[in-house]
Amino acid sequence: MSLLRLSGVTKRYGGVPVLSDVDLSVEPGEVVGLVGENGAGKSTLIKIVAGAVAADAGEIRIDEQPVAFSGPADAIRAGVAVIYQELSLCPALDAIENILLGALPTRGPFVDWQAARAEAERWLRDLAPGIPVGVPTKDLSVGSRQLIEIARALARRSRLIFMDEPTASLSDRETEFLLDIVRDLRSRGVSVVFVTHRLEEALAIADRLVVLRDGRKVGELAATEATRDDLIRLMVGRTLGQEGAPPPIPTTAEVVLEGRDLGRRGLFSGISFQVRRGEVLGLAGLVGAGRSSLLRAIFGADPVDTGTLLLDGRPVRIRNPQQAIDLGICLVPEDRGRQGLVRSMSVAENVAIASWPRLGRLGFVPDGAVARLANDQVRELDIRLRSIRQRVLSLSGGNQQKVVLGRWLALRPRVLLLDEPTRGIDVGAKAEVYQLVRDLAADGVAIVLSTSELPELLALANRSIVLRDGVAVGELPAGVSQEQVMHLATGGPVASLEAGRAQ
Amino acid sequence: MSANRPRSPRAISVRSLIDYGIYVAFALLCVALAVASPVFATPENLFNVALQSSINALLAFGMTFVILTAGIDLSVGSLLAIGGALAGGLMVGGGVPWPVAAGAGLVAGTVLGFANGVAVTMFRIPPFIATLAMLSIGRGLTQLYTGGRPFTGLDPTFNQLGQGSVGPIPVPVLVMLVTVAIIWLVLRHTVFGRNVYAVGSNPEAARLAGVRVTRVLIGVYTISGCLAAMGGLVLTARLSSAQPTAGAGFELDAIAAVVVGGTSLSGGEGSILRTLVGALIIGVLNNGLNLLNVDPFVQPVVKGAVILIAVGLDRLKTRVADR
Repeated sequence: MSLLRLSGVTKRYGGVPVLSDVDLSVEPGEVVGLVGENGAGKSTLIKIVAGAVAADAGEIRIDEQPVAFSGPADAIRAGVAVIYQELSLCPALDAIENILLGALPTRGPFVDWQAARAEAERWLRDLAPGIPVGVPTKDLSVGSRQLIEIARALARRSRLIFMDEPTASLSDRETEFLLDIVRDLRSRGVSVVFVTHRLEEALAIADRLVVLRDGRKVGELAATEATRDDLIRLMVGRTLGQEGAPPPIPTTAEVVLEGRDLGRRGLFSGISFQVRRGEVLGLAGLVGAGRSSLLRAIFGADPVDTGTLLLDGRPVRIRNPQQAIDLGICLVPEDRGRQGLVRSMSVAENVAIASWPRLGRLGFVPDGAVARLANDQVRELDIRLRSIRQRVLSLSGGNQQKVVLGRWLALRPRVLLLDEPTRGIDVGAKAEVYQLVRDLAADGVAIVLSTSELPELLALANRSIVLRDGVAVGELPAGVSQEQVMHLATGGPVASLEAGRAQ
Repeated sequence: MSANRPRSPRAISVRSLIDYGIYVAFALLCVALAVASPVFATPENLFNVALQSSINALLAFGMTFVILTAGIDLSVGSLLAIGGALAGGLMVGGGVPWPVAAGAGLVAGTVLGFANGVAVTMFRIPPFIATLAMLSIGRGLTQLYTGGRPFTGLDPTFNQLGQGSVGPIPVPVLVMLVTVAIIWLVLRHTVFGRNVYAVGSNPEAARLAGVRVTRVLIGVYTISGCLAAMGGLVLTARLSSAQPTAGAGFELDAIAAVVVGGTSLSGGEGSILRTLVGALIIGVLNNGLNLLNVDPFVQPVVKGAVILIAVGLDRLKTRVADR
């Protein structure tokens, strides 16, 4: 008897199918690895099982009984817990309250704090006895917070725990620890659906692997039979290596942007780099390694505490983004929705916003000029839309990203800083963004590309710097393997780490 | 994975020092005024300060619930007026016994507070707008009901609620202290109270954890309405009359008390004791400026400056803590 059985689950957002007719079953005490690229529909699937969003069609059965979740409380009652990618703790509350959130024990009208503490400590004891329970969780590390979420799932006597990219921000050691916990859960009869795009982990932990691509289930394999290559082929629908390597850059090309010993307290330190005309410099590293912070600092969005930035060999001090833009440095930020787009504005306005000073006449921005500019970029980047007056959020993720790119390209930048430029966009749009990056580089733009997707790094970067915990731990030429990058990013031999620090 | 400590012990102690800064500031303010004016530290004057702070404190207590969920309630002044007017009108015009009339006033404030909560949750109207509308509606209803005239000649027993005292302690101060004790229990030791913090800290996390966010939000606006009406009863009893214009602008002092106390406008952090101290600081400030014969036109400027300083220090604290 299956613990969970999904059949024909389908979900559309604004007419765009994100899940099509997906079947999935989970047996008691089984670990299922759910893999797929960004945008494959993994997160949506989880939200449906968690009762956070409703499916448009399909059936959910628990213990072979059909269920209809009208909200998260129903799913919790049914024994399903979800540990989300963006941790869902209340930062101002301590571990006790977070573990028992929505289920504090009471005596009469009051919370029974003694029982609450005992209960919380009981669940945390096995996981991580060292976590202080009485401190607001915002003061704890990401790893500790994740363990608190797992403790919460256990405290609810969950029989099925979904973990959405649980290792995305964990160190190697923490990841090992988490995998041990998953094994322990399995031995206690708890089922786990482990969502990840790190294939080694999925292969190491799962009994069975399910692959999603573009909202469809494209494969289901026993872990003993599956290989990495099988999974990759299923995930991307083709074999790797088709991307081709980036063209070499003549070493005579002049250096456009150079950083010397850049540092910002608590985020990164001692970072030096050079980017030549027409070069794509990759920034690799795990989430939280300091890549975004570095790009934001170069762009003047955050101050640097130490070091010098040189443009065309001359030292520059960039205090705010406006100065950076005036110098021809542009940033496509990581979080498109929150940092990249002005959500309430139209496509045309979003494209033109950085060009307003240039287009403006006596403080007025002529509509015609805005439309011309926007139309140019729409044509140039092949942005698919109904009208440039359309609200920007009504576009698909890939087209939204092209709007952000178009905004900067209209300024003819000399340096383009790209932070996770293909996050959450579909495979087709991704290929277009890759081509665009290559074209821009060929036109002589110096590009710094920060990405957590190694295939992307390898396909585009002429050279890569690997960051770990805010320190450059190595520099790699084009043509290295994913394993080499991961090795550095996750803490390879101490020697290379020390070498990195010594630089 | 090893659990890591919450930063260094030193950072914690610096932080808790700043955390309790509001209490220290209050004490310093009192000491300074005691030195500057011989009258300030007399028991009569201190009870007087507490009495003058009590109505604002009641409004600020309700406001604390709302602000803890990252909301705001601009309607408290109007709900105060409607609570007082309905109680006064029933007593004077309807010949209703005072406990029933007072109860009706409380119910009126509670129901309109509930309506605020419904507007904010079911209709997803931003709290600022929903309660701004209620500010207008409540004031209009009060004027309609009273015909623009005050009700006088209230039951003398009812008036004791504003004018009487138990031993040396004025009844309004007693009401304030009992209320603060109950609210402290509710916020600190009941599931509802903890859910208020959870919703304010991360509404999505609370929702996903099965907390009924809508109920919590409706609850806080209802409580705020009820406490505003209670403030209305106390004010009416103190003045021996129900004034249709009572409480106009009181929402600003209530918000000031919460903010000066250090409760975060972004929700999830703060406490009712802080709000009590915030209300007392504003009361002490008013009293002290009067005692020191400061030009009454200068007084609002000083009050405004205190709010800016209090919130400025709070932001600074957040920055220090984030280091």
